[in-house]
Amino acid sequence: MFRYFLRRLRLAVITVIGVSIIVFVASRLSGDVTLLLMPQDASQEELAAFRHQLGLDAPYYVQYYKFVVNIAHGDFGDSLRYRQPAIDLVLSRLPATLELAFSAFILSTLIGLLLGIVSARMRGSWFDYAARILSIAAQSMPSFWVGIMLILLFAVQLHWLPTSGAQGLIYMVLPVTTLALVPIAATLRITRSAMLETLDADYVKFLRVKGLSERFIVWKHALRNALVPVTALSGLTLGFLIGGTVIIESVFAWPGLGNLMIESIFTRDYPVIQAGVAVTSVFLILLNLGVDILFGVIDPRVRFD
Amino acid sequence: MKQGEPLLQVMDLKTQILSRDGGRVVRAVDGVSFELQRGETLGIIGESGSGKSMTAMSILGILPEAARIVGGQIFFNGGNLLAKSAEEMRRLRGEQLSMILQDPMVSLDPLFTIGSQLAEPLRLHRSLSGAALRGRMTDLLSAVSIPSPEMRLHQHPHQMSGGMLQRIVGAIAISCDPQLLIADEPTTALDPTVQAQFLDLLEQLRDSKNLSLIVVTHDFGVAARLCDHVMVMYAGKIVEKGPIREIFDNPKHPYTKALLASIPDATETGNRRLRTIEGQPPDLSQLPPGCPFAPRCPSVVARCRVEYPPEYEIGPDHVASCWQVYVQ
Repeated sequence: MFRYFLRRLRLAVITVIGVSIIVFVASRLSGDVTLLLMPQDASQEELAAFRHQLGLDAPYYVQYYKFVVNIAHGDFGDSLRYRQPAIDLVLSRLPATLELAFSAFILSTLIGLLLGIVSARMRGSWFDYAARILSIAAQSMPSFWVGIMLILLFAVQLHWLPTSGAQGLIYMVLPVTTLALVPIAATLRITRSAMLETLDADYVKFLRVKGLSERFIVWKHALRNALVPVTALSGLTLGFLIGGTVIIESVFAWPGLGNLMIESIFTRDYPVIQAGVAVTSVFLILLNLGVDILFGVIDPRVRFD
Repeated sequence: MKQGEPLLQVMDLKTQILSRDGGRVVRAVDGVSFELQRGETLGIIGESGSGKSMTAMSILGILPEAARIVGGQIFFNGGNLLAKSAEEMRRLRGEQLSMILQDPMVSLDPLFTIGSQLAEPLRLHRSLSGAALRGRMTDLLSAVSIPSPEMRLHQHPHQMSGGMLQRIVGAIAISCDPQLLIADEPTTALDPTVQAQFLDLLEQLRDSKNLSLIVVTHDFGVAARLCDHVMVMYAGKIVEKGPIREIFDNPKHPYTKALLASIPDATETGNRRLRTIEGQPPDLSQLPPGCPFAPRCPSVVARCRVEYPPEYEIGPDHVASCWQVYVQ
């Protein structure tokens, strides 16, 4: 298990290096920053001097080296708009985003698993059909539209819930629901099919031969086997959720990282964008490392070569 | 219980499988009757789809969802299994009735250790725990010749070979000393060298535990090794049954004869092609009237296509269902 962990960790480190290269290259692909920052009537000399000041006239490998060293010190430069370290801005907004993403993740995993199991156990029933039709519907509706519709219904028409903002738990209901719909549907469908496949397997037949009760077979053996693909899915789900908050946060005016990123893109506040991309990437890589380890815990075959 | 009463008595068992749209009915087991005495070994022989496994699963009450027992009776220790509730059947399974499945590589849950899977029936039926449970588990693994059983208990199925897994499956199946063990093609998935070892083990377990054994197989060699009696099934029906020597030396049903003739003979020289049975096994949802083997039978007569032949007694315990036997 420890060797498995080290292998996964090595992969994670390689991925982080890859991400740093992508962030570095992407930020330089978006055009000459000096033109954006300097007044329009700046002379060639002034521009060159400014480039030198920012270190942009150095060879790319030197620039990358400096970039990495700075990142390692947590220095992504200052926000062009707020005049404070970009990383501080990003980190101050991160908790609000994680609050949304993790709530949606826990909700979708629990509900998706439960509905998936019930759906599989009641295969062919009205519940099973309803669950499948609704999950296809949930997966095909764009989340910004779902968010707006939910606001219309529950906030504007029924006045049950606030339209937007973040002043307590009640404010989380609509954004978390919107965010969780797609992963609930995905988890439901994958749990259902994994459950059906497992319950059809020979080893389940042998469990029945042993005289074990159906409930025991479902909750001990079939569930753990079904958790293997669900765990694999959860890595993707987390990525989807953290990326998905960008849109949901602007629909619900949620003061998280997603909203900050959209503002920064509109104002070309590229140090903040870089810091935001880097932080979410590293965060996702760590989460996936966690998922990989969980994989090894659930499925012993993964631990060995 | 009376002495001499058979352990298992199956009478006119009929099991059908409903196709998913509900339109077609497959008569997987079609009026099967037989008896099994205590300590006796019965072989059920036939090709794939002949109803051998369905017969076995009907006895244990572990039929797939689409299958139903639509007629007959199964007496085990004098009680009718078909009259028992699902819960009563569950308590019998693993305790008095047990089974070994065809493929050991997929018979165990890949995510749980050997120990936890061996412990399940012992906890459930024998309420063992702690040191008593561990002791019983190592004894069982030793009984099926698994080296260093203590270590094996902590391993997972993927860390073991097929032959070893089949012995572990065997150990789980007999863990609560069942009275009846059904082995469904127990050696088909094993390498030939391991097959012989496993047959030895089955033989040894049967003799030491006084098990009654039903061996489902398509292999006359396996049947000859283990069985006292065999019954030959075709299209859900028993076409011939009798003591193993009788069936080998004096087969009466053309299907039995054809099966025996298709066994490759190692002593034969020359490049004779393997003998096969012409034609295909019938579609069990569209059986022809009369004998289902008639379209493939070399000695078919007109009556075969119209009317199914009754059982004819050929010798002591030896019966066959064929109009040809009647003519003779």
